[in-house]
This record gives sequence, C-alpha cells and structure tokens, in this order.
Amino acid sequence: MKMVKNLKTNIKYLQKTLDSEDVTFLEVKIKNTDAVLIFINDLVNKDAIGELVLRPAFNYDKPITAQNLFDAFFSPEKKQVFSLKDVVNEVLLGNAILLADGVDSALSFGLKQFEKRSITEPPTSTVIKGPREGFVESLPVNISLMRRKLKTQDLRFENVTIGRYSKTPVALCYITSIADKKLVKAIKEKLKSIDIDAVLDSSYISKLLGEHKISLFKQIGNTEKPDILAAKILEGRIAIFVDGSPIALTVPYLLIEDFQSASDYYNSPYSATVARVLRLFSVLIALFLPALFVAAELFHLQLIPLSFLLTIVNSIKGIPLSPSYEMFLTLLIFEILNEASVRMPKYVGMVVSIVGGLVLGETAVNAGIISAPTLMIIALSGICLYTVPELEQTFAVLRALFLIIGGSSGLYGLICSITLLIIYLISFENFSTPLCAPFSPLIIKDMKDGIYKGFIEEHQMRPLSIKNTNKRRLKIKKTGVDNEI
Amino acid sequence: MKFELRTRQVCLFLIAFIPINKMFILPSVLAKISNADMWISCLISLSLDLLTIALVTFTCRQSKTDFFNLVENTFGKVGSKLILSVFFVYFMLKAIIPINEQKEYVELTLYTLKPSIFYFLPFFPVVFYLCIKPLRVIGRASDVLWICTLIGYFVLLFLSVTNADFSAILPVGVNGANKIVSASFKGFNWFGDGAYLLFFIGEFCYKKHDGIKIVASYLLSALIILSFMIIFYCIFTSIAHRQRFAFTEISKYTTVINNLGRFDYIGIVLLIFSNTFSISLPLYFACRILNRIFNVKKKWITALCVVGVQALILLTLNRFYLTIENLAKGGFAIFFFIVGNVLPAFSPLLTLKKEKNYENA
Amino acid sequence: MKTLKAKIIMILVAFLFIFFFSNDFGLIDVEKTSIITAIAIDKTDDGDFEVTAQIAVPEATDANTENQKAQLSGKGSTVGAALKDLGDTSGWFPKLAFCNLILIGSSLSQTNVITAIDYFAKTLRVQDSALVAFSQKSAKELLEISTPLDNLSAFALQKILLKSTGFDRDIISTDVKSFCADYYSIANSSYMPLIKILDSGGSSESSGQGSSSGGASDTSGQSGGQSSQSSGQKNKENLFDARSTALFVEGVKVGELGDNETLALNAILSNINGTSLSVDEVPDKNGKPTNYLLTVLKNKRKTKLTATNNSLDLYIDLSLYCKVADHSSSNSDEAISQNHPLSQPLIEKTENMLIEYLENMMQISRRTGCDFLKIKEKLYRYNYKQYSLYKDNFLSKVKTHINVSVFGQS
Repeated sequence: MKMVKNLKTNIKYLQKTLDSEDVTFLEVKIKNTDAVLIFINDLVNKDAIGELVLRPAFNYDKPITAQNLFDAFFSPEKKQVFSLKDVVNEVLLGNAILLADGVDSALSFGLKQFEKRSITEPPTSTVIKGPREGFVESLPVNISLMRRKLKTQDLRFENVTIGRYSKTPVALCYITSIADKKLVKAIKEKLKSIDIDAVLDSSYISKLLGEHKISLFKQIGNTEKPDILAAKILEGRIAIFVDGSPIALTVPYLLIEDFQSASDYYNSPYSATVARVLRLFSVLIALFLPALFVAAELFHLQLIPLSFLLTIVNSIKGIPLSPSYEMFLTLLIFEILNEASVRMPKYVGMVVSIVGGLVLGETAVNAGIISAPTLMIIALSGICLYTVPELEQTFAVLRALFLIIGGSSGLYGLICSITLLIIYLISFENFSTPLCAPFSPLIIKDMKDGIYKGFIEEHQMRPLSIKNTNKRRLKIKKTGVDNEI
Repeated sequence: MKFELRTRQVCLFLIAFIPINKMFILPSVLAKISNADMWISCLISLSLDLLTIALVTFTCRQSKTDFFNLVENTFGKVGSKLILSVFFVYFMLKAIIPINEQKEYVELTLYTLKPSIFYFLPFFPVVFYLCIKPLRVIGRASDVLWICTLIGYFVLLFLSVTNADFSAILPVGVNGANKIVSASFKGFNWFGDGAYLLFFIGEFCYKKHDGIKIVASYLLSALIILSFMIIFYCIFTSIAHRQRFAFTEISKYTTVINNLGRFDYIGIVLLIFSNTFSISLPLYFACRILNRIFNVKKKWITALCVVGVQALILLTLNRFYLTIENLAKGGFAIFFFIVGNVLPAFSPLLTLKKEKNYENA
Repeated sequence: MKTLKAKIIMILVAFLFIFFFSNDFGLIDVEKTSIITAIAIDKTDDGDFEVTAQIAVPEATDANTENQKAQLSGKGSTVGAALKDLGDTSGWFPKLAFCNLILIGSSLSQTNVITAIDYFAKTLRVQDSALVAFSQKSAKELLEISTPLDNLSAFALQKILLKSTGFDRDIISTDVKSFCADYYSIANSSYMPLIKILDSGGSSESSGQGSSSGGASDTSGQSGGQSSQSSGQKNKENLFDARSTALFVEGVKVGELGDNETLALNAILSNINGTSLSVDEVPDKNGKPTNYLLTVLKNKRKTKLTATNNSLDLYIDLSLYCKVADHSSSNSDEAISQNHPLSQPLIEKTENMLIEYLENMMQISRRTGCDFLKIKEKLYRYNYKQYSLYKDNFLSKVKTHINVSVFGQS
C-alpha cells in the first residue's frame, strides 16, 4: 500500500497495523509541520534518536519535501521508504521511522540497539592454540567479525529476509572472485523460495536448504568460528548467516569437514595427521565395536582370541540377559544419561555423572545385571563418538542401528548394512557436490587435506572437491635471501 | 557430453572387483582338474580376458556413444534388443554361482553354527539399492573399494606367503594340455570380465594413453589373481582341491594367529566388502540392460524384478546348488565363453558403421 | 514419494526391532558352548574311535581366576560320530574352533591315522592349523595328566610343541594341514612329534576341580562318556618330552626318529638358530676331556637331488655357525663368547657327531620306507624325466653325500 501525503491517513493505518503497546508514535513538529516518529521502545537507541533525529528536526528550516528531509538528517543508516508495508517492516526490524505531513514517503533511521552476548569462545569448538572468538546471535556483529578477517572488496554479503512472522534477516556471504557463480545463484534462489512462519535459528535454513528431504547425514556444514568460516569461504564455499543464530552455515558440505578440526591448521601437520587418523579410528570403534562384540559373542566365537574369550565367558556367566539385550540396555542407559546430562543445570550434571557413571555402572556389574566388558565397550564407544562432535547425533543413531543388526544377523548383516551405507554415502550429492569427496570420487590432489594433513606449502591450490573460479591460493616466491647466517 | 565415469575409475574398477570373486571356490575347482598346473589354466583364462579387454578398450577409443546406442546403430531396434537380451541372460546366469558361493561361505565359515538361509538375505536389499543408482556410483565405489581389495589381499599374502612351498608347482605342464585347458574351460563362469567393460563404452572421456592405463590395470588385477592361485596351491599342494574357500584358508597357518586370534579376518572382511559389490555387478548390468530394452524410467521396477528373480533362484534352487555349479562348469561354460569373451571381442566392429549424432538426441 | 520413502524406512526399522527382540535362532549360548582346547583320539578294542575333549570351563569369578577344565569322552565309528556323541551326551555344543592340539593315541599306531585326522582337515569349522602329536601311551591318558606347567595339560603340551618355533628347535612340530598334505603327496610319508611322559618328581593336591572339575563331574554324570579322576586325589605331576618323532607311511606308524635324528632333520629342514648342541668328551687345550654345550647361531642348509639314468644322489650340505654356551672345563682360558673361535677338536667332534646323526636318520628312512626328506617329491619336481625310473626304489637307490661344516663365529 502506497503512502499518501496526508499524515493522518498514514498514521491511522499504521496505528491499526502496529497496534501494540511497545510501539511508540511520538508526535513532533518540524518547522510547524506535523510529524510522527514511530519506533519500538526497547529496540532503539533513544539517545541516538534525540541526537540524530529530534535535534535536527527541531533546527530544521527548509521547505518540507522528501529530499530536503532526507538531506537534513545525518544518521549514517537512513533510507527512504515509500510504502506503508515497508514502514511496518522497518519498524519491526527495530528502526525508527519519521513521517511528515505533506510528504508521501517516510525516513527510516537505523538506530537499533538491543542487548547482545559478548564474543566468547564457542563451547562446541574450543582450541588450545588459535583464535578463540566465536560468532554471536547478532548478524551485524557476525558480519563485522567476517569483515575483520577478510578485508577485501570481493567479500560480498547479500541479504534476504525469511519468515512470514519472524522476518529474519539472512545474509549470504562469499568471495566473488572465488565462489562459483552458479552455486551462489542456486543458493540464493533456494533461500528466496523458502516460505516459512519463522526462522528462529540457522538450523531451520540448514534443513530447508538440503536437497534430500530424508537424509541421515548433514547436508549443510556449519561453524561457530570466524577463522574456520573465513578458511571455508576462501576454499570457495558460501556462508549463510541467520540473525539470531551464532552458527553460520556453509555450502557445499563435505563429510571430511567434520573430521577436520581448527587446531589441525594451527598445529604441526604431523600431529594433525595423527589426530585425524585417531578421529577416524575412534569413529569406527564408536560405530562398530558394540555391534561387532555382540555379533562375535552370538555368532562368531572363532573371531575372539581364546584367552579373551575365556575372560568374556568368565564375566558373562550368570548374567540374566542375552549379550544383545545386555548391550542394548547398556546403550540405552548411556543415551539416557547423555540426554539428561545435556539438559540438566551444570551443578546437577555433576550428580548425574556420579550417579550414572559410578553408582549405576558399578552396581549393575556387581549385581550381575550387566557384565564388565559390555559396560567398558559402551563407555569406550561413547567417548570415541565425541572425537567428532559434529556428527555425534548421526553416529549415535547409526550405532544403535548397527547394534540391532549385529545382534540379530551377525557379521554378514553388518557387512551388508555397511555396504548399504557406503552406497548411500557415495551416491549422496548436495548442490552437485559429492558428500564423500575427495575419497569418492577420488580426488588425489585434495587428499593432502583429507586424513593426511599436508604442510602449508602443499596447499598451493584450492581444493577441487568444491567448485571455485580461482584455483591458486598460495604462491611461494623465492626471496633470494640466503637462510644461512 | 557429460560423462558418468573417469578413466581412473574404470582402471580402479578392474583392480577392485575383478580379482576378488576368483578367490572363493575357483582355486579349488581349478586344482581339482589341473593340480599343480592350475595357475596355467588360470593364466589361459586371464590371457583371453586380457585380449577381450584390450579389444573393448579399443572400442571405447573409437566410440563416441554408449554401448546401447552402438548396438542399436548397428543392428537396429529389434536386433539390438535381441543382443541385449543375450547379455541379460548372461548376467543373470553369471550371478548365480558367485551369489551361491558367498552364501555358502557365510553359512559354512563365517558363522560358528550354520545359520538359516535368511541370514544371507540382507544381501538382496543391498543389490536392489545399488541397482537403482546411476553408473557413476559404480565408479565411485571403485574409488573406495580398490583399497579394500588391495589391503585385504596384502594382509592375506603377508600372512600366508611364508607357508608356501613354491617348488610345489613343478614340474610345469606335467598334467597335460588336456587337463589344463579343461580346467580353464570349466572356469569361464568366473572370467569373461570384458563384458563389464562394454557398458563403460562412451561413459568416460577417452584420452590418449587411456587404453594403456586400462590394460595395465587389468594386468595388475591378473597378477593379483595369478599370485593368489600360485600361493594357494603352494600352501596346500596335494590337498588344494579340498579347500573350498581359498581366501579364508590360506592365512590361518601363520604362528601369530595362535596368539592373537583370527586377525586375518580384517583382510577377509575387507575382501568380503569388495566381493559384495563384485557379485552385485552382473545384476546391476542386467538391470541396466532391462531398463534399456523396455525403456523403463523407474529403475526400481527392473531392480525389483532382477533382484527378486535372483533371490527366488537362491531360495528355491538352493538344494540343487551342486548341480547348478556342475552345469556352469560344464555345458554352460561355452555360453559364458561366447558371451563373456567372444562377443565383446567383436565390439570394435560396432564402431565401423557411422554413428548417429546422439548428443542431440 | 518422500513420505512413502520415510514410511518404508520406518517399517524397515520397526521390522529390525522386532527381529532383534524376538530373535533367538542361530544364536550361540556361550555358556553352552564347549571351548575345546585339545582332542585326544584313541581306538577302542571294538574298533571304534574314542575321542576325549579337554574343555576349558570358565568360572564366574574375577578375571584372575585360573580356568578350570573338564574332560569328556565320546565314542563312534568315526571321529565325527564320536564328537557328536560327546555333544549329545553333555548338552554342550562341541566347537572345535579353538582346538589347537590333536593327540593320537598309541592304539592307532597299527591303523591309518589319517582316518582320525582327516576329519579336522575336511570340516570347515575346525582348525586344520591345530598341532598334531602322537602319544607314546593312550592319548586320553596324556590329556588327563597333571602337570606343573599349566592347569590345562593341553596348554602345557602346546607350550612344549610350540617351543620349536620359539627358541630351541629340537622338536619337529606339524599341524593337521601339513600332515594331511604330506600323506596325500606322492611320497605318502608324514611325521609328527612323539610325546613321552616324564616323571617330574613332584605331586599336587587336586583342587577338587583339576582334570575332573565341577563342570566335568556334573556333565559326566549325565554323559555316556567318562570323566577322569576323582576329586581330592593326590595326583602325581608329570612332564612331557616331545623330542622324538613318529614316522608314518600311508598313515601307518612305521618307526621313530630319536632325539638326535630329530635334531638333524630339523637342521636340514629349517632354521635352527638358538638350538643347543651337546658335544661331550672333547679334549680342551690341556688335553683334558671336556663337555661342551654349543648354541647354533646360524645354519645354512642345502639338500640337492641329482638323478641320471645311472645314479641317484642326494647331497646334504649343512653349515653351522656356533658359539660355546657352556663347558665343563675348569680352565679359565676356555672363553664363552660369541667371537671366540671354536677349537679344532671341538669342530671336528661336532661335525662327526652331526654326520652320524644324519646318517642314522637316513638309515631309519631306508629301513622304515618313510620318505620324510621328500626325496620322491624332489625327484618328481626337479628330475621328472627320471621319476618313473626311480619312483619305486628311490630309497634303496639313493646315494647320500653328507657334508657338515661347523664354524665358530669370528
């Protein structure tokens, strides 16, 4: 709906639309002309309103026209709005709107001010060495963090508003000289096509952006750290910020990303490689050890070395449950404890770990309900899973599935289900990027940042797994300076 | 033109999937007939396959379209359907023995007690799932599984080679040409790998020297097979023909196994992964053929039919497995040879007729 | 379509759950599975096989408890039938996946032992890598023996037999597969260690478990088989000697190789590094007779068969690099050092001693007709043209040329 020159008509409409007690309609006079300043009480900086809007309005002495009004105010964030619908949107975004009689447009001042969390180290990706700052819930702060990392004119932010009721600002971030244009276009179109009530967190976008509606694995990457995001953007990925979420999304996503940690890039390549191998083995142990143990106990005794078998038989003698039920029960208890400890307040969490870990475990073994090897295997599996925290939830589901399969059909069932998983993973693509690259399809040049972490000199080219328009990222120039002193 | 595969994937395909299905019962089949000369029988079959693969690779070089279009271009719609039907039957028959081998292996050695046949059935959903996937998934599976095959093979090799008495293959050729050729003939069901390559024609961008790469990959694969056969015979010598599942048998005589348990199963399980794919391949290509013959768009329908028929064969003809195996080694061997080796060897002729412009089709 | 997929996945997961929680077929109850560690095979007077299995019985106590054993017997016309009998009467599944030792009783010495052993090579669920040994007495008796080496005599016997792969290679160990392969080879000759029972001089009070544990006495009550000794009995403890070798032709025991001949055979067949040689009555520097113990540091061996239409020659070349490990001399000049050269008399005596052992070994081979050196196989593999000429009389025709050289490490 277009604005009219009659202030009263405009205000009447806006008062009807923004009929809420926290919306202020402040009547002011500009050179004897009626004007109204509209804002939401708790979202704007009132000092700034006084300084940047009311004081210039009081001193205004030119004829009242849209252009004169626009020129008279020195607010750095100002724009003209021509429709009443946009006025409403601007108010809801936390801006202050000035409407004057006889002018068929309004002025919007970006004077938002609301409480925000300070920049802290994100709890999900702590590092011993390396930057400790993390994103916060405020989009402008997050954008500023990125700008501080990448001071280039090629860094682009494109804004989209998503959410019928939330009107959440969503920002697309990429480097124009690196990112694949087609991919940027595809993501933008996909974002624009989202029609949803509200976007309360970036995970909403993450789920809606994925090409596979039913997917066991993540389709969109995420990070809470500006340094990681900057590195990903520099590889040709595209980031998506959502106002209100400290988690930035990255597209396209590769499975290997979650096996890479920020510290890998700040430590020596040797330790990074060892750490990655360790993570991979940990995941294999976490996923398959309970299932393999149960399968071996139930169907394949010959796989267990004799001395180990005797120890197992010693410990399971008298246990009333079959090995598969026993393992399942223990896993169930573990998952319950895990869920409870995440939800509980910190100080109660300590009690949960004591009760769960010591009392429940020790008592269950002593009472002969579960055996010590089973408890040990679940504990080991549980710990191993957290070496790759990003995939913890997916792997927890898979672990339970594999346990059920191993317990009901043995090793061959497990082999078949793993084969099925392999086919699923290698055929999985999102935005034309294979999930399992650089392993399948095999991209040998990208293997130096796979399980093996190469030296920085080896990363002269950007990864081929992600489409990009600029291949080289490092040039080593010979300085001609003799290193020998 | 968008290619489904890379040359690298075709090469790795040959390394990942060709050797493994020859490590189950084929060694004992060959040893039973040609004893110490079993490796010569194997060498004959491998040489025939090498020739076929070299000729199919030549076709890949010449052709700008895929095999289906080539056949249709040469023989017309009806003729092509007939030829494709022959290949369909070939792949359906070729799948029976390896699937039964794996089933028997699972029943007899993997489980402590003989499990019900239903324990083998999870194999079929896997094949079904694979059959509905595009060809590039086979290429990507090769990218992953070649390493499984090689690690599995080297684990077994490392554990077994010290127990082998390599003089056991002497004197060479003493069993006579008759037995050697007869063993080779009976093993045709396990060979004829050139037929797979037909379906890669036009699916990858043939560049200069690609032919050498593909043939070299097959040579590596053949070397793995041949060395396995020799080591197998040199370990078991006079009782080689009694070892039903060669690849689980050869590694268990190492002393460390006594102390650490059957850790050779690491290698064995890796090989079973590759083998699960390997024995699915005939059914995968059978599905592709069926899709083409009937112009089916919904791949799951053909996949369901092919996998269902194969499962039915397994369930109903389970008791007659030995008869089926004897048929495959006997009368059907000639069929396997003709379709698996002879027909693909003539594939270069398909490129003689001027191809239609399929890119605009 | 997407919801259909989701529904199918849900149905599959539900089916898996049902399968998991209702499944009890094909499972092994570990407690009902007998972990057979050794098998003893004897022949009864009525010609049946009597199979005795030594079973490890784990106890539901802390992990440090030593495993107890149970011994069960079964009878049948074949080994397989006897094992089935054992399972039928005990309620245990006799699983042979962990059976690493098969003992053949002396009662089988006149029959083809392959009838007993072949079962283990034919069945896929059995370890054909299990060691085989021939008992001087009944095999069952050997298993029942109480030994200070291990609570389970099977483990004690394995320690003795596997010693040959460890340090002192004076035992010729063989497994089921090798025995069968030798039997089915053109030589038809095979061998296995011969186990003798020695008196250790000690005795032990049976704990009430021992060779007739709680498990065994419980099960033997219901079984047709017999459990061994009664509890609380004072058992005499014994040791084993496996340095002799039993020789077989076409599966029938034809003779034995003594300790020295076994050592000689080992020396020309395998690497015997670390093995000890006793050389007695060698004059030292002062001419005083001294006994020496030599340790073999390295042995180079070569056996070559040459065949012409007129002659068949077997060349055995053995070079031993030794050091003195001990001596009985009081002379302080007699050094025990790796780098110390051996005295000429010691070298000569050792060489002569080994030549004598090897000649004895060949004599036994000729006498028994057991081709444990696989001369026939060598003839077939390397001299195929002369094979038909000598295949029936190769042992009598073969001329042996033995050359032994002993060196001190310098």
